[in-house]
Amino acid sequence: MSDLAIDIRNVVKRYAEHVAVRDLSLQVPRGAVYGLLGPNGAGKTTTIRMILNIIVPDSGSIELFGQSHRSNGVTDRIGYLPEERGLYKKMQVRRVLRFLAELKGVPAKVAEQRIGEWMERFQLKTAEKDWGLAKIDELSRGMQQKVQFIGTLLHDPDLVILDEPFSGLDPINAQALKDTVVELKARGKTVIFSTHLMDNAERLCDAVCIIARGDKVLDGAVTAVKAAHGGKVVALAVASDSRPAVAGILADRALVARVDDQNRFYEINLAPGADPQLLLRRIVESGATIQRFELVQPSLHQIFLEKVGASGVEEGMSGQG
Amino acid sequence: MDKANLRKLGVVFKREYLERVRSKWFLVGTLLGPVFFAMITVVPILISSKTKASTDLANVTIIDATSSGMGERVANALQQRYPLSPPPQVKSVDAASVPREEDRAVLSVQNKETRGYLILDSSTVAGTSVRYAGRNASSLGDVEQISSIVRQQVLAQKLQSEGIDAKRVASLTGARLQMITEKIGDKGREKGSGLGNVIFGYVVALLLYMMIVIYGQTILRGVMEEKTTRVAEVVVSSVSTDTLLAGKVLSWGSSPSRRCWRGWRCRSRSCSTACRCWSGRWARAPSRQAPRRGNLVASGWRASWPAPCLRCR
Repeated sequence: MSDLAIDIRNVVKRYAEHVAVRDLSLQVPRGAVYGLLGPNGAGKTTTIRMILNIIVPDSGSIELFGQSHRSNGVTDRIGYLPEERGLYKKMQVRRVLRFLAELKGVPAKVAEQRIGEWMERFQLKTAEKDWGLAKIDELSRGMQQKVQFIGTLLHDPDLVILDEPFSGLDPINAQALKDTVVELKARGKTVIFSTHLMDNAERLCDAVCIIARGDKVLDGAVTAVKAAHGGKVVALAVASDSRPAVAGILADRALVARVDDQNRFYEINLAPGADPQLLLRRIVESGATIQRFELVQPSLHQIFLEKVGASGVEEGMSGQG
Repeated sequence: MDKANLRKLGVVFKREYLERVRSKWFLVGTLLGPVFFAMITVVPILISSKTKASTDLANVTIIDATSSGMGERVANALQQRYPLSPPPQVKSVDAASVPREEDRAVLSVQNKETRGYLILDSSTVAGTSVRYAGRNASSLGDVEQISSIVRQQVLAQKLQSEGIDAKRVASLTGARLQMITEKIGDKGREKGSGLGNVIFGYVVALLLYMMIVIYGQTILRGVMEEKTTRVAEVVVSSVSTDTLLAGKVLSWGSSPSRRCWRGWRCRSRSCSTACRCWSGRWARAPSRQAPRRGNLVASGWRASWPAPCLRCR
């Protein structure tokens, strides 16, 4: 049995005008929470659609749980939450959910029981109101998202793919979704989610893959990625009257590659080969009142900006990752 | 198709089918469809029967520019054919006065004194043309009647000019032949005329054509809806597009049989209560406590189906 939930090798997908995914290879271990990160139009959704066999890659191979993604029954082990919610608007919520579960091979009676449990968990069924009897178009957007998410998990999939799951969710429901992801991981399920929100990815993911313009920029365990990019970022806080004194030092490109003013402190990316001790010494010499000087591990957000930069978004893209 | 795909086909079929028969439009279509089809087949027949040759066709002005007594001939023939009708008025004029008489005749028709006017001239005598104008000029039956009478009189006059006796001409040309048709098939003589079969065939072809067009468009609309609402992305990640489309087509194909089950057959058998699902009244449901209308929707028709016959089950 393969240890990989997903094994993508040299996959290419071209459209008439541009290459959506260029020679992408990535491996997702079983039981991991894996983040597919990238700006809008990077090729995230295209990759996910190829995994799900919705669109066919021009070349390369995709294996799920050690067998081809086109093998019979393998897609029944996947739960998919699309970026744009897709539900039959005129159908009753319970019937939609039963339909989605039955499509994945869950018997109707089992599906009914699970629908009840999930709806209670997501507060779609309370003592006052059972939204299961309402039609989809009577639900708010947030509720529809919850229904869609329930539909993704009803057949207890081994691999859950969530495309931009946090978009449009209020903080309470985002927390419920996050808790569910953590629970899925605890039960040994593999979760992949695509997002351009780095904070979520940093908190949830075991491993990440950053894609830009259809190319893989980097991948690996989050801790390893951060360690590899560590030692180059300094958090510096000085008294407000000392700010002009350090401005000149921070403008020195031999020492500082980029400064991100976070209001209460500066986040400083050191120039290649620059010594943080030298920076500290120069700030002390300038007479500034130092409140904080800390070598920090870079956030995924910073790594992302460093690797992808502003040029990561290709012009004229659909906006779907 | 393997077992898993067959099962998925069943799931798609069930959804398409049940969502359709649950819709209000399906109920309206079931009730009004037969009425509509009856209308489009019966109404044309009614219209055509109404436009059969009238009984007062002789109430016309005959403008006779032939100077050979053709007007009188035609007037007599019309009067004989339509004895209950007001007699035709014959205006014998020369060719130059025809337009003036025609204007008068138009006024007469407008004032509803006559139904129309007939112009007989040298070309009529020659057997090439005759002109009729009137309120019933669009009625094929009326025009055919008048035309046949004029044709007969032209023929009669020609024969008479060849020296054949007038009475003999009348008996020779007065035949009003009606053809009775009968169809012979592989099993010998069959009931009904060939015309009836043609009409039947036409109606069946029309119905078939409408079914194909309407159902085809509905399936297309369904697919478009799935694509625009992005449901397709979720569904296609679980089931192949071939299976999805097959489920849709099959569900449409079987919808009419459902009408039969729920409507005519159930009522004629022992499970008339089963048919009450449409109206929402379940007062006489035998096998369980009668759910209210709201519950009916909540529980779905299968759960609250009160002991129907095997066919309904």
